[in-house]
Amino acid sequence: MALKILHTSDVHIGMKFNGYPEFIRGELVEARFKALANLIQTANEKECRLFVIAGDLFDKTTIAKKDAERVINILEDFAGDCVLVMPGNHDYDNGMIELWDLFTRKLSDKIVVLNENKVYQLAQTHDLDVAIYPAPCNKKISKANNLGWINELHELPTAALHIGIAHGALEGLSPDLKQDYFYMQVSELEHIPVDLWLLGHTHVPYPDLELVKGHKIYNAGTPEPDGMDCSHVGHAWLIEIDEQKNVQAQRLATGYYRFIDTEEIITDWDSLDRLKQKYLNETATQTLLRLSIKGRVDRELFNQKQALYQELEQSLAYVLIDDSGLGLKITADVIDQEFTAGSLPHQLFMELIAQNDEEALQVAYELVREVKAG
Amino acid sequence: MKIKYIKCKKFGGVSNKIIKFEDGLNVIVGANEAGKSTVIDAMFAALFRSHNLKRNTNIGRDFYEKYLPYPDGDSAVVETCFNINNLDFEISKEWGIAPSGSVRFDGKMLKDEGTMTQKLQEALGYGENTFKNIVFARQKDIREALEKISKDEETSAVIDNILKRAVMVLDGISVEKLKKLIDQKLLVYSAKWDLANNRPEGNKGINNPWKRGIGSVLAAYYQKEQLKQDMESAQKVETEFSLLSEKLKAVRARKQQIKEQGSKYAQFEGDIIQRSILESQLLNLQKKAAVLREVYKQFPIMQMELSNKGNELQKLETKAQQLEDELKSADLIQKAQQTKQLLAKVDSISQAIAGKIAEQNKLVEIKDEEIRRLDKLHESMLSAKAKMEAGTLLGRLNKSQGYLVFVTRGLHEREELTEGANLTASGYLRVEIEDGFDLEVRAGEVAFAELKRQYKEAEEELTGILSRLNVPDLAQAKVNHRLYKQLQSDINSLQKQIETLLGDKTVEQLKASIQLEKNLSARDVKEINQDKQKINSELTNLKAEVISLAKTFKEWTDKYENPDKVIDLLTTTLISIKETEAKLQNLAALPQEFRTTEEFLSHLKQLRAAYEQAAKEDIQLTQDYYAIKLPDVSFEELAPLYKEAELNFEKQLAHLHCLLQIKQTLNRKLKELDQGSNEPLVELFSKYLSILTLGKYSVGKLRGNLEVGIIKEDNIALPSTLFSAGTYDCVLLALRFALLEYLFKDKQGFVVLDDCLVNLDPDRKVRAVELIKEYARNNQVIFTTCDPATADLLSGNVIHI
Repeated sequence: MALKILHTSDVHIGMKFNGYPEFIRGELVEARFKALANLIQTANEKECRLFVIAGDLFDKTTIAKKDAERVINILEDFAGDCVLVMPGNHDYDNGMIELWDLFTRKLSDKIVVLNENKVYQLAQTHDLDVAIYPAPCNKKISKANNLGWINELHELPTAALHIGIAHGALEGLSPDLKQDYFYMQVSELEHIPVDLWLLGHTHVPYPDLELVKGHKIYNAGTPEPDGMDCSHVGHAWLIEIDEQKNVQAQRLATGYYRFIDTEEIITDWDSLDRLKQKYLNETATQTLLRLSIKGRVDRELFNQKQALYQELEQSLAYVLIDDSGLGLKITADVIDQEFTAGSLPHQLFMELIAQNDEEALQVAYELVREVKAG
Repeated sequence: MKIKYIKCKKFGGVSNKIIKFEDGLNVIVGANEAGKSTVIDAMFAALFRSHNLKRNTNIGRDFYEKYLPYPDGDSAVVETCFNINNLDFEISKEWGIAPSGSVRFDGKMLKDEGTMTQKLQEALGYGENTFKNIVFARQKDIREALEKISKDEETSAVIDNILKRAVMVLDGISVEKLKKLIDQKLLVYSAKWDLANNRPEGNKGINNPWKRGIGSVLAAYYQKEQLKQDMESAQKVETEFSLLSEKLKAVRARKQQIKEQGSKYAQFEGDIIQRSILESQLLNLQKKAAVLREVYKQFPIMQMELSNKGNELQKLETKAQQLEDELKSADLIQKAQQTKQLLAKVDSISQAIAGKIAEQNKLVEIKDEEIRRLDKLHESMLSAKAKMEAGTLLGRLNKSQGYLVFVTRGLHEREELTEGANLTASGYLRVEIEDGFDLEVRAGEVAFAELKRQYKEAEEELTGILSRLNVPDLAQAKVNHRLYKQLQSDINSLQKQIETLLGDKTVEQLKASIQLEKNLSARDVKEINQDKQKINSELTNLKAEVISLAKTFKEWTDKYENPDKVIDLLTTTLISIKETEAKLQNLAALPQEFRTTEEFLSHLKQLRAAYEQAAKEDIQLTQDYYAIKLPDVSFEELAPLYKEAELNFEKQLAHLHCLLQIKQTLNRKLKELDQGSNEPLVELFSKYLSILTLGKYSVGKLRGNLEVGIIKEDNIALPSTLFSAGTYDCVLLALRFALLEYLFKDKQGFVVLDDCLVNLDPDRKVRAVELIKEYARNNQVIFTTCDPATADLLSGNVIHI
């Protein structure tokens, strides 16, 4: 059977963004709802029959009731046959989570919560000849993944299509050094005779391609970037499977906000201009920038930094600047030019230059300027 | 160094102006607003202002506003030439719309700004500010600086200090302010931080933190530590939660498993209970049938057996009675024999008594009082004898000359004493020599005669008694006395034995009884008893058997009446067995894993108890589960915050160490400046001061050479109010020239002076002019004034503008 699937995960509804100031925090929280709504809209436009959320729809198990209900309303807008929601390690289901109680109580038949280790035969409920093999999370951290029960199946039940859905760190993709997050090896997944694996957990998509053909394993990545460690634009997969089970997938760019955590070096006016061009563009209002500025510049340029920061703050959604690495280019020549030979500052700076302590020199320079300014 | 010319093509309000300078003194004269200052500014700009100066900087804004020709000029152009060590440097700079710059020297030309600046700095020897503060300085700016120094009395009293300070603060940086600012910043960073131990003061960690006056290092430390604690706490709670969830899950799984198993078995429970009852009934019925079968079979046998056993019992009882009779006869015979033996024994004792009596009769009976009397007499004799023998006399008959000598000693009889014989007498001695000598000697303390009488009386009575008793001495009397008594005691004892043996019978009676048993006969008692024991045992067993048989038989008779009735009952029981077996067939079978229904029911009971236990654990764990409050911010979320806080703490600490290093370096520099020799500068100042005051003041040693101060000719120190006494500008000039010479040393220097003479009275003006001329002798001076008279006074190269 031919089937179109929109595959997403790690929406993290309810993420609080505590590290951000109030003015942007609310926007970031809201952006995640919008991202989910946009995904549903895209899925409808692309005429998807299946909408899969491979874990971490919610950021935690303690989500406000109104937020959970809002999510249900968004999901109910899906025009296809079925929405599959599987608990991930953030919104795990250990059988006592009120969130999932509420969620399952309020759901229509269209939405299925995959919180049991069993085969979900969608043919019986949704007119889709698809068997689903979920590996939901029942806790936050686990050395062992939840593929065991699928491995133990002697044979797969009859269905036109077999789709595995799992949440956890994928070998080679996630920086899960301790293998604490339901770690899965590619070979382990390939060994299980399903037609497709739809994964969640790692916030970057897998494979790292725009268009993919004949691939079996997909990781959705988060649809909406959620922090400075998330430098991409947010993704989801639009997967199409034809009658012969040929798989074709298109990576969709889905995020609104863009987080950039970077370092820029300013040495002269040209580098300052380049920096401005880079960030003050048409996507500035969607950009959250954590910028570490480094370099040694002359006084004139140094004095421009506040103007630059102001400009960035006015244009970008959010800017956090660390300019502790930016300083004046303080050399013996500069000191000679700026201070009278034999004067105390002149001697002090020359001594600090001789000590080759750049930081102390910067601090001392600022102190002397402060004294001079009165 | 000297300036050769300045060309202001377009610079501020001045255009197309060329001014050439000569060595020595140059005086630019012009009215106010004529452009004197602009020309000097153009000179400074040519040397130090970048032709690419940005408009959006403070300096740039000021510069372009001031020096782009007003109202519509878009560029400023200046050329100048200065000479250093006979090498000309021609500088050309254009600011504004088409900035450009070049430096020509020694046939070369530099256009790159960086190279130009570097070359110029190299040639000039000092940077922009040195020139700005000393060479191009305005008189009023130097005055202000010096006024500040002179307010500090301690400093101003000593010219050395003034000069040092003057050098230090040329850039307008107050040492005190700088030190104070560093201390303030240090406090901001280090407050309540123990630098030596790199920890909070008093080691007050996050659990007991300082509340007030915390520096930024400690604040960052506390923030970091708080996050660390939060992280640890979050991790602990999360781990606890996770473990509890696992436990709860396991309990619920167990509960479910028990429930499933229990439900599986519970469906059979009714049947199994019924089966248990029926099986029990069936067992009883089967037992009953077996009993009935046995009863039916045993009924006639038992009847016969009971009769046989009765006969056998009678025979045994007769035999037992015979044995009993025989035993009685044997007993009587045995008793007669015992009586015989007793009589023999009595007879033997009677003979022993007769012997004892015969022995006793041989002895004279000595009574106890006679023995006591004998003892008393004997004691009396011994006492008299002892007393008489108390006075012992010793003697020797040395010579008798043929006479017969007789002695009577104590109680001894008279005896003859031979010559040479020794004698011993107790209490009494009588010596007689034939009939002619008779001597009695007595021991003085002894009544010898009385004693002797007592002794003799006692001896006589004792001898009389012994004789009567027919014994030789007292000892024999005592032996005979004891023997007699012993014999008497033996006789008494033997008579008692006879009495005991006879009891209340007499010998005659006993002898008569022996006669009666003579005709009896019987076997040995032991033999009879053995037979009796055997018969009794057989009798007991047989009786028990008969009783048991009789009892069973009675029971059967009572219960069944007769064998026919038994067979009826058996038939009924067998029918019941068949019915019960049919019922059992219709019940659910006992699951294979159980051997009995009891085992099944017991297992089900255990399952129910286990389920109850699991349910209890579930409730408890569920309560615990919901009681755990997960942290608002998770461990995962806190981790990056902690990392950032750690970095911030390190940053704050690094900044603090920077401040400390700066402070140390500053203090060291100040110390070096204080200790360093300032003599060349002092000498220069002294030289110019002397010129200024016509030799009236100079610099000399004060207070025993400890300080350098300004002194008069008469060696009196100039008061500290020197700078407020009106000679201020003159002293300033002296100081400035001293500094110029000090800085440029052997090189030719140059200085730009604005109208520094304007406030001086004629006398001081003359002296100041002398000073300027003196400096101009070896250096270049460019003096600007609006006063032609001053120009005249100065003479030199006067340039009108």
